[in-house]
Amino acid sequence: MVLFGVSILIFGIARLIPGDPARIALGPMASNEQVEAMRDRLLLNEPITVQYLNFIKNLVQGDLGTSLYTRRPVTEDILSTLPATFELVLAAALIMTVVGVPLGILAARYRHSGLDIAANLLALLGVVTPSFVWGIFLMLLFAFHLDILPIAGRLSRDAVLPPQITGLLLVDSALAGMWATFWDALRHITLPATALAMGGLGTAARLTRANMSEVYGRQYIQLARAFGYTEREIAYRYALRPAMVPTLTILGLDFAIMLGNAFLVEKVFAWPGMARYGVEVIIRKDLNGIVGTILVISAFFLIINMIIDIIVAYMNPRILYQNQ
Amino acid sequence: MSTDPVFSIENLHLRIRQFEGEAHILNGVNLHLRAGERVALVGESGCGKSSTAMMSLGLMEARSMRAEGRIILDGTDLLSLRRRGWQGVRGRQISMIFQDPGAALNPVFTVGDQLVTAIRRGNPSKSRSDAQGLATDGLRQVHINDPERVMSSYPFQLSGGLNQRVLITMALINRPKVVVADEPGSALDVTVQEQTLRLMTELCADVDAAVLLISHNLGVVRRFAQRIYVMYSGTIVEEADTATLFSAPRHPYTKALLAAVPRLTGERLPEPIPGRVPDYTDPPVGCRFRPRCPHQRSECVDPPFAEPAPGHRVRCVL
Ligand code: SF4
Repeated sequence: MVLFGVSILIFGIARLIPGDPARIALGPMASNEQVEAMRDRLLLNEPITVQYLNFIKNLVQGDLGTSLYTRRPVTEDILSTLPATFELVLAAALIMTVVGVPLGILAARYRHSGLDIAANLLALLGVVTPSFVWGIFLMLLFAFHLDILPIAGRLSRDAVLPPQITGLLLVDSALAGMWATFWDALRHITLPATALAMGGLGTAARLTRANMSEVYGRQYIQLARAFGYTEREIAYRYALRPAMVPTLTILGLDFAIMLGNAFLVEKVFAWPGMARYGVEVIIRKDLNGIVGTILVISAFFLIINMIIDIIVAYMNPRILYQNQ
Repeated sequence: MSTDPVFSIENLHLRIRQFEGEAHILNGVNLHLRAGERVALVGESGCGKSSTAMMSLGLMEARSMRAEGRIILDGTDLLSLRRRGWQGVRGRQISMIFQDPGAALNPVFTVGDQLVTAIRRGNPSKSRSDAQGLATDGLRQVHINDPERVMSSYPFQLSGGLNQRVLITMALINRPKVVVADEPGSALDVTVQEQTLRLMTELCADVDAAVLLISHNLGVVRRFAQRIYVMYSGTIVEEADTATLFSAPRHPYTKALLAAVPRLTGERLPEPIPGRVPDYTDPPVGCRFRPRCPHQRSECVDPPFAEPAPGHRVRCVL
């Protein structure tokens, strides 16, 4: 339903970008007749409603049209680049959660300690520094000066490719038991994923700390203390769960930001993801390419948020029971 | 029956450094509970009664706080305990019934889960199923007919009255020697409050637990408590058994509190006590009630504890 709305929006906006797609695709040397013929083929001379209906008809069949830029079906283009981006964003989300949330918990448990201040500082830095700056910084430090991690790309040139199952190199190589490739892929993804995670990591830590502190002020935490629960138990069991409910909802939104930032980080690290494709299609006013790319990203975003909603509902029984 | 007290607070002082200066929250509190005794601690809000309750369980948490005196439970000085020591005492030997059941139960765990955890905290050797059985029995004792349903519910699915009963069960399930009850049920309506006090009387007698009931309302404690401490501005100003306190109150503050109890007969509107609780950072010298007291005189600078009758002690020159 939401996707449907999004599709109308993108479809409209893509057609508002100035410039004639057919003219751009064919180049300045093409004759007016050729351009007209192409416009006809693309239905660009039809009213926009007809264009849209046609687009939907194809979409339902899984066809996003042909890219004017690569001259290949858009679905094919996207499928060949999406897994790399997907893997990068997932890795970044993982880093953001497994580092950011515990950092926030510790900061909340030891409020006003050195650790709290350090975490706060790191979080602030993470939030205010754009991810591509992190990327360049990490690249210079770890790949150039220390030379302990590869500088760019997704795999070394001589690495053996695993059989494609999910398209995620880490998963595929692990499934195939190709640990050398797995290790190589892991080393390659570390820097870009960290760079991408830094912003969200800061948010995650600060949110977790704020929500934990709020929960710490609640009476049920006092009750837990009054019944002899250990501080560790209180933190990880009795405070964390209520605190994660609002935290997770907002972290879901961070995914959207990450997807946008992924384009920049991919550029920095020459990551073979959707970034180059996404930028090229916009510059070339490749209508089908633009619509396809954005549609896939929106779908991705919606799916992530649905998953988060399910987790939140599980964590907060009030939501589950109110819906019944 | 003058048995030794199971729980006593001796000359408890509590100071908290604040922005405006050091607040002397508790100024030499003395009180004791004998085994199975029901005692009330009464005073206006802000008089330090809740701080006393929190201190009794080591729940006071403030940066730059300084406590002196002794809180003795069954021979151990609780004030000297470190975190580990507290964990061994809380929930097993001393427990607490909180004021607002809606806020005191964790919203994301079922009631059964929380009861079972409380039981196993107090008695780690108990298996989960044993604890479950114990919890079910405990809920039956507070007259809950369908304990299984209550156990599998989340707090927000139950009424305030039911949750309050869950809290009572939780507080008494490990048979503690002392229960501190901070205005139980007062967040709910009067019927629930009455019912809560009745249940507490019943259950505490069963397990022979002493209760320290914290309340701002003398009318509420009248039927519950055997003995009453009246607290004003961080000190106990009068203590007596309930009958004596109601029939022959001595301290002007106690009298004022009694006059402020609303009467159902309605012949006379309750008289609010004029003035307000004094500033803790700069309390009046001597009797802290002086600015509001209609009988104040020059000797009030250092009122002694008078004992007009055995067990009836008043801190006033009158
Ligand atoms: S000591 Fe004096 S000021 Fe204090 S209550 Fe008694 S009469 Fe009033």
